[in-house]
Amino acid sequence: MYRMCKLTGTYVEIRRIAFDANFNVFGLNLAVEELRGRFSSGDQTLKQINIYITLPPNVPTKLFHCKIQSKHVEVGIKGNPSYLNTAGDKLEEGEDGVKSSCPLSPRRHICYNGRDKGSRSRQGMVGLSIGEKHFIQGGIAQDLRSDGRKRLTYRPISVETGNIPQANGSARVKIGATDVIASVKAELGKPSPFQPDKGKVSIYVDCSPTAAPIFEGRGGDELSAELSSALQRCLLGGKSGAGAGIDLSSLSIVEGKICWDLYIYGLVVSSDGNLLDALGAAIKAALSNTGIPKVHVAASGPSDGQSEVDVSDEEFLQFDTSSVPVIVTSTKVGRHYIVDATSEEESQMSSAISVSINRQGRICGLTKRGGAGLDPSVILDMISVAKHVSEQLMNKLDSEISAAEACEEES
Amino acid sequence: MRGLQVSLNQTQKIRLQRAQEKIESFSSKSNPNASVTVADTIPVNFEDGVLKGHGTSELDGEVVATLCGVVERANKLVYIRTLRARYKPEIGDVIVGRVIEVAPKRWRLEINFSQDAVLMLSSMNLPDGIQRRRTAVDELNMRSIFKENDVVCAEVRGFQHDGSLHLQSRSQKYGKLERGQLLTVSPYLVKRRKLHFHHIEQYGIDLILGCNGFIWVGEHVEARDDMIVEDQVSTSEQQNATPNRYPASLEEQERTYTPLETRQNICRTANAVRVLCTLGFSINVEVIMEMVNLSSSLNLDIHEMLGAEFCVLIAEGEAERRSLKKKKG
Repeated sequence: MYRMCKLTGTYVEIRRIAFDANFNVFGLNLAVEELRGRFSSGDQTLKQINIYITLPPNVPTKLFHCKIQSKHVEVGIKGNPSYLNTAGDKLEEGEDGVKSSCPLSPRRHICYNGRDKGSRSRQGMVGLSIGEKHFIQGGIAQDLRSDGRKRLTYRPISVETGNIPQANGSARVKIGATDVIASVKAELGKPSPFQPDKGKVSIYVDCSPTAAPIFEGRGGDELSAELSSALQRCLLGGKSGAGAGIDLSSLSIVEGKICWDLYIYGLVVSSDGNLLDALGAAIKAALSNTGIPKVHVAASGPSDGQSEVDVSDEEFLQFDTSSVPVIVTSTKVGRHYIVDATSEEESQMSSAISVSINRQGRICGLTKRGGAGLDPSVILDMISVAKHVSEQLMNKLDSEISAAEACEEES
Repeated sequence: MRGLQVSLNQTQKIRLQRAQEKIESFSSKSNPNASVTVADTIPVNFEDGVLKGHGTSELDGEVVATLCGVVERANKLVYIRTLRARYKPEIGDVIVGRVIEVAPKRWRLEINFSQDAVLMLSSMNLPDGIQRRRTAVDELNMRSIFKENDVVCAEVRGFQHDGSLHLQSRSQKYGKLERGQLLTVSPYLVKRRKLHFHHIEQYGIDLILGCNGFIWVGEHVEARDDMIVEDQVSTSEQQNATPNRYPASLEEQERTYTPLETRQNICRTANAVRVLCTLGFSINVEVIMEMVNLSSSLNLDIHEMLGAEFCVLIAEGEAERRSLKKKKG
């Protein structure tokens, strides 16, 4: 719903627009000058102007108040002092009001489609009342969360492998109501000139709109980018390729010329907190399910030209996942740390640390989320808690993965 | 079973299947004509004249179902009631909802229905308990009664002209709900009964089964008599009481937390409701209490109630109960 203000015979010049961080228009400075008898001079005339204004959240459109008259403009929200009121402005004689020097660029004014119910509970995170938040914090402090878990207990994890037959490897992991799918595709490619003896791996995550309505369109891009970079940091090591959880040298075929490119895609189907752990588990399961085709390289051929590569359809090499780390996120709520937070508990968090730990108990990557600052001793404490939990998680995951693969072989 | 998040091993799958078959065998014997699927003909007596309601259509002179459900008849009206329908409100239903907007002289609540419900300021008891006309000052202080995202319990008073609901919460047992958790289940699982508020003394918890599928499990709060409170407490203290209910400092907050034992009972009850929802059985107090007693007698950890073994046990228990009912009736 937008207000269409039809002005004939007057000029509206939009001088200044105040934006907040989300590019919502919070203030408009309009100058209206009346034109008298200038129609014939061939100046540009604005006969009609559409003003699109995105209201601050939780304000219904009925309370928006916009009054544009020939000598007076008032814009505001009912019951509050108006953002703009030109009642006091004096018109200057002879001034040419036609200024198109600052048109609204298409990127900056945000069209406001339909009634703004978007900020309400139905379309995003369900809001929690103060009493419920207090209950959740109390539960965490007393070591008894809303569903009866202790602070360091995971929800039941279920793993299925081989969901996507066209991919080289795939897995679906469900932790409680969180559901993610990971798939691995291997393609032949050229290694990077800085690391000619290593293959390449790239990880992308996509948040499906089925998980939450806010993920529709571009809404999930921010979260996807954050998850992708966190996973890359946890699993792939540094820029020089050192310290990667996945052994990249096993992906090399001909040094400097041909290597395997692994593309790992993660899809979030349903989100109930703890996405990073679920994605890490899914990637681990997908990698253990991955079969890289055997390659025969023809010895003949020019040394700097294309070598003949024969990709076998029948024989597969299982990928070695014994060194792939597992990711544990520990969330700080109040004074205590919990592991495997649901989305309600995540809304109460002050900060969270995701640690990826391999079988030897070594840390492979670390990410901190959340705006609250943490004392370094607290960080070390959270890391040790995560390390303690990771052993059980690693064993649980390994048994679930082997059970899933056994199940897959039967069917 | 929809949405079963637990993975069952082989024996558990077999047991669950057997229990489900047993339950189905008991229910299908009652009134086989009632349930229809798409394109089934509905037996109608044409001489009486028939009004075709929702879910029916005429095909080749016969009344045919377009939905899967149960045939309901009311005088000349024939319609299909689907099994997993949206919540269908009736006057007098007890409802639990969440405030999404504070509008002039009313609150808008989300109640798991196609439209939002409206709770008028005049349908609400004032905090001081006096019956008087609502003034402008009352309207400005609406936020001190209910804010956005508060959980509220109310009763359906009627329907507005556009189909949305009018609510009222005139007695002490209705009102804001704090100190507990709100669960969402499908509305068809909560049948209409005489009593929707249950105060379970032995555990000290309140259980409110909203007909719209929102179920509140929380610590027991005595329904205060506002008149007496007004006399005893001076006005200045009362003004300080509400903002300090959730004090900012961590130590004071810790003192106001729910005691551990009540919390355990709340969590057990909530998990019992979750299990019933995944299995698709109707939710009522007796079944919930039985499940809580069963889990404590088996010494199950509270979060193990959501595991596979307990689900299968409950399904078998339900099959037993229905076979006993069948033998009696």
